[in-house]
Amino acid sequence: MSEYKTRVERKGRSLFRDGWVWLMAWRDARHNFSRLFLFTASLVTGIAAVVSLDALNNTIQNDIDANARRLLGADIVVKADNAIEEEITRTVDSLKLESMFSADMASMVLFRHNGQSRLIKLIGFSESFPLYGEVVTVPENVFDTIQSGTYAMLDESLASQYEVSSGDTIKLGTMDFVVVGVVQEIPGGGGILSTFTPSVYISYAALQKTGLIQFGSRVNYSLYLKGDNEEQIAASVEVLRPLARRYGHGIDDVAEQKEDLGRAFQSIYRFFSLLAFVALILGCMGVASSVHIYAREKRDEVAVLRCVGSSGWQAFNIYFIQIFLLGIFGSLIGALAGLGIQQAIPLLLRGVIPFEVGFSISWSSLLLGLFLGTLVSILFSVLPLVSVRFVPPLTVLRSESEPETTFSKTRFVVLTLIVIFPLAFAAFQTGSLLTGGAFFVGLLIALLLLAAVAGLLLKLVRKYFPSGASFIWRHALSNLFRPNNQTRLLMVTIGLGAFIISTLNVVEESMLNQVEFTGRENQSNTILFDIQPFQKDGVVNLMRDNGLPVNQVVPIVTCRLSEVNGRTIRELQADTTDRTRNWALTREYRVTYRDTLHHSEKLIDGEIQHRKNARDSVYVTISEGMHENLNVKIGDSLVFDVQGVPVKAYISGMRSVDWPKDPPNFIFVFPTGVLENAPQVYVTATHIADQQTANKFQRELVTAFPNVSLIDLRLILATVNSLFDKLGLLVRFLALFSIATGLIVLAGAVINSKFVRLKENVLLRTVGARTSQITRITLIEYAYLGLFSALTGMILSLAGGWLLAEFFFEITFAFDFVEMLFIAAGVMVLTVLIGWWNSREVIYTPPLQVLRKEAG
Amino acid sequence: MIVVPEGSMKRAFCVTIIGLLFMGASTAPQVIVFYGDSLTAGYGIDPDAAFPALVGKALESKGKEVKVVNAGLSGETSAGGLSRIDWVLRQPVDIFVLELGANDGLRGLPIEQTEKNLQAIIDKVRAKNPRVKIVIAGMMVPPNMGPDYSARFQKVFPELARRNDAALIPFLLQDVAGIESLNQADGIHPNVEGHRIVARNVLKVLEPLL
Repeated sequence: MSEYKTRVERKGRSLFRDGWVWLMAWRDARHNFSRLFLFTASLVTGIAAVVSLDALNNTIQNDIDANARRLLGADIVVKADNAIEEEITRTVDSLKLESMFSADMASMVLFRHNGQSRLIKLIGFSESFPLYGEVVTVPENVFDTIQSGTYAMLDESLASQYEVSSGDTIKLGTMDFVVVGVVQEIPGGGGILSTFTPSVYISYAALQKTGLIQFGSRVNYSLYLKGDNEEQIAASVEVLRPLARRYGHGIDDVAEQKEDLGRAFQSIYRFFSLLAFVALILGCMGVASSVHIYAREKRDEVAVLRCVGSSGWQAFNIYFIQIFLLGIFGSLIGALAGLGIQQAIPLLLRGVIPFEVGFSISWSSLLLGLFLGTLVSILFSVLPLVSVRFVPPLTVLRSESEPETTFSKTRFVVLTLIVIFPLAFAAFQTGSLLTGGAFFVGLLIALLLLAAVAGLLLKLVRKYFPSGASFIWRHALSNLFRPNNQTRLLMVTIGLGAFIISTLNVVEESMLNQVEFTGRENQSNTILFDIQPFQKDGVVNLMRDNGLPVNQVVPIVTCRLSEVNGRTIRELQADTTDRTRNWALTREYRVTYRDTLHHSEKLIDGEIQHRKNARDSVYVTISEGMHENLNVKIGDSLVFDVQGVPVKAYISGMRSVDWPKDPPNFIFVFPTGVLENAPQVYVTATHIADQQTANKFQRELVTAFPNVSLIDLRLILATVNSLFDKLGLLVRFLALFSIATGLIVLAGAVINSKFVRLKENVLLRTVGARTSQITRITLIEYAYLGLFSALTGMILSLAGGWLLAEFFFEITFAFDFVEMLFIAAGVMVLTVLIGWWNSREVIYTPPLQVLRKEAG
Repeated sequence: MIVVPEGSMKRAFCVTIIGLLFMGASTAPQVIVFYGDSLTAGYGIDPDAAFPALVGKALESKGKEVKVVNAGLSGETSAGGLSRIDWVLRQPVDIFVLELGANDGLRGLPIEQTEKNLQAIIDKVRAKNPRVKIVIAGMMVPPNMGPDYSARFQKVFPELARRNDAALIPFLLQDVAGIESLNQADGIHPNVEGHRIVARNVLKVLEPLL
């Protein structure tokens, strides 16, 4: 068959002076808005995700700036262990900084109402504290009362433990103070820190009268400074820093505080950026796919236009104008929606981060969304639209003719830009070309793998086609292979959504599994240490009496190394060619003894620590990694100096240790029968559910075993827990964006195949199919599609989650089968719903109506 | 059970024999065990510069035959000292210098407990060797701990010395505590210079016992 090209050379007219094109764009669009709905929807979700995440990052950044001051309580703080020198105070005056100061020290408090005393941190404040932020007290706003005389306030935990109430008297130094209330939050401290040594607050004037400050007293002084503006603060820091250094004082300023806070949120930024990137890419795929469908539908119209004399470019321009204008519109909607979502997110995050996230509108994010949306709609629509230019007029007559693939400069340029765009965006989002590149490559690999897995699944289905199944099931399945059905694209997009959600799920599950403390039933949240051997039974009994579980009782022996493989530590230190690390040779080792593996340990090489009888050598195990620092291997000999007594041991095996899991964990573990008589202390851990039990237990412990120290991890664990919960919720919510985009693409595909389906259904009906059968076929088809997409995503996410857990987070891989099942079921249900919703017309149109239309 | 490699026992034995042969009638070196916390262990400095080693050197330079054992462990409280004492008493002791309690004081632990633990340690030492000479290092807490606590705390040591007929170093950190130039940056641990003064404080009491 002879092929020919229509290449009529016409004088090109500028897009902006070609009124006809604009008119045609409007006339055509009037009847096609519903078709372009898909395009708009993809763009809106993609842009909404980017804008909301970007705005959230901006808001957090702004709030960190604002809150850094509040957390520090000042612009600059000078910390000294003696009274602030006059030179410094003079300098501060000359810099015209507002100032106040505090002094703190360890001291004993005596509670008059019950005669008990306790070690506390006593802080005396000068007037006008704090310079920034506020002290949260119960009753409210009584903090200034301490300035008016011998009044004191206590940390909430201290007051509750010793049952102190307002009006009670406490003795500090030589003076009595009346308690006026408790402090819940205080700038520059409080919170988690207070669980170690609780604080008592009084005025500086009163502190001086207590007689606690005299020669030999160990007092820390803090000077809090506040400036009028950034320049003054920065200049003051320049002057004060060398001065403070000269006197050996520490100095903190707000800029450092900001950096510290920012660093803590770095990984959250990264994570949000990754999500934004994925959402945008999915949006791009949605745009490309919907424009592709649109361009295909317009082939006939374009052919007619070509017949009546329009040029290829004019045809292109008509649709380009539509897409471009709608793109701007969609971006605007998306950006506004994104800001709306961003406003809602702080509600989710409330209480997780140590400050309030504000409700400011981020204009830069709005502009970013508009710009990105327009760019995406141009870039990703030009490629499918370019084919419009090459539609031959002959298409009017020959509906089957495929447009030939023609080389086009436009197409080439656009393709190049399409490759560059995600890379540039990722680099912009993460602020680093390298990380951006990693994102991009990661996504590319994920997409390729998804496509591969999808292809493989489809191939398998074809190969093992259930020919024995009933007609409905077979027909529904074979529908997946209908031409132009975009099954694979759908599996990739929906699969990507499922992939992201379930990967996050897998990673989260593995991390939760790791932090075994996370407030789960009976997980240790309180650790007791420094228990002397003769106190062990007593402490355990006290725990039992209080109904507390005894999770672990471990002996700890402190020792040092004195020889490694027959060479003394001094020899090894002197040997410069030796690769052994000095700190590993000279440090104190805290070891334990037992004949079993703890559940945080795995034997990865050799044998477990053992000693068969009293005359056998001592075989110990070492933790993985430490063998490199000590440059030893299995079979090597070590001599431990157990507080004066040498103990020779051989390394029998190596353990991999999951350090954070159920501590304490150990570098060296001895067998039993060696160290039983050595000086040792015991550590034990328990789970305390409520504050009342904790108070009672701590009181009893301190009375019976005053030297035993207790670390209460409940507050920290509770914070970590809620952070995980809330972030997890947020992450899932945002990952829904990608599922939503996938579903939009699905809707597009369904609409695209509507006419083919109509015909098919009519045929099926004329040969006797009932509506219920057709409905079932449709539903089952989408169920298949959903199932395969979910499978594609799950398979990949298990692999991805395993890789992430094993190599990136270095934790044990774990997944919750039930949750995975829920995700898969969710994806399936959504797919079926969308598919069915868009096919209703197809299913319920009477056959005759279609046949008549066909005839007409 | 601890395995003491046979070699080292033999070596120790040989050293003793040879020592006896060469010294003839002269007395065997007296073993001074310094039993204490970070002050004894020489926290933050070389153990050779800590006061027990300095005391040993000073005595040797005066021709005294002594063997100094540094049994200090940083962070040790009186309760920890009580459970560790059996281990340390595996070796012979002629003079026992007890330097514990400072960590109890800094942690605000009940004073009766500290006193009881220190007494129990002395009892164990005496049970092992009834002729042992005991030196108690007096300690004080910084005044910021409050006059009630400080007063009761510093009374513990003279009281123990009186009851047990032991020698008393009135205050181990005399002329050192609170003086910035003699302490490390943390303000509580003496530096090398500070340890020299501490050694002098100890010598004053220890030397007459030899």
